[in-house]
Amino acid sequence: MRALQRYRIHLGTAAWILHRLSGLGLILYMLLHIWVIHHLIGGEESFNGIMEFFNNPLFKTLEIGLVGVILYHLWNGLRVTLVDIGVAVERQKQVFGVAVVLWLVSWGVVAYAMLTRVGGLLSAMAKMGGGGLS
Amino acid sequence: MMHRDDVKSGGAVLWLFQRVSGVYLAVVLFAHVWLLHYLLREDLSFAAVTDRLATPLWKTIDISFLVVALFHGLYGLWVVLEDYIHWGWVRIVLYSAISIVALIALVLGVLTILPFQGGF
Repeated sequence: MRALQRYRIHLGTAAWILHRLSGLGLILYMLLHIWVIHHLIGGEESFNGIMEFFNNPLFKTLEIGLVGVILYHLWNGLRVTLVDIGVAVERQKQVFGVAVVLWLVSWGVVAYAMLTRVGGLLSAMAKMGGGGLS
Repeated sequence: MMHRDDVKSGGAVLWLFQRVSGVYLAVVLFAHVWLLHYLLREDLSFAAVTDRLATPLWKTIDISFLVVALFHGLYGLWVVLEDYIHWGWVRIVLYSAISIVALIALVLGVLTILPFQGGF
């Protein structure tokens, strides 16, 4: 029982630390994203130039990781909010389990869509294999 | 977790805003990613992006997204820093730095969203 309690505290603490770390990562991404998209102001050439830099398998892969970080912060944030407003406080373990499942399932769905869409990771890799770096 | 400190410093409204804005960001971010990475099944061309930005509805959504996301993120960062930084002058420097970064990002974002015209 004691071991179980300790495990629960550790799990909550880990979720809390991950929430802060994912938040820090998302701030950095948000600022980078604003800076990248601001190239629209410079017109088509300026925008296409910066987009071409990120249009390769490395950044496509990182984007799928980014979605995982966003969805972790999202589902854990909703879980914490539920606890804060007093919903299902006595069933925190189940809520935690549901949040983890929702996180992984939603990540899987979005990752699949990002992998298979035209211009996604798979087509970017096919392009690289077929015609070299362009 | 962090709200006890907030209430002490009179930040109960900010604590509530962080929760409400989080829910708002979840919805808008879902629309943002779904639209850009699923509905537009092609590379993000200048034309595709500026066509979307030219519509008043998307301008409104994107500006609210920008403002709320910057506030949620940088206020969250401030709450985290408050936990670790206890010296008055360092806090003032960090608080100023966060405010300046927020302002620059806000101006850059608004300048990006506003100029495109011709939508419906």
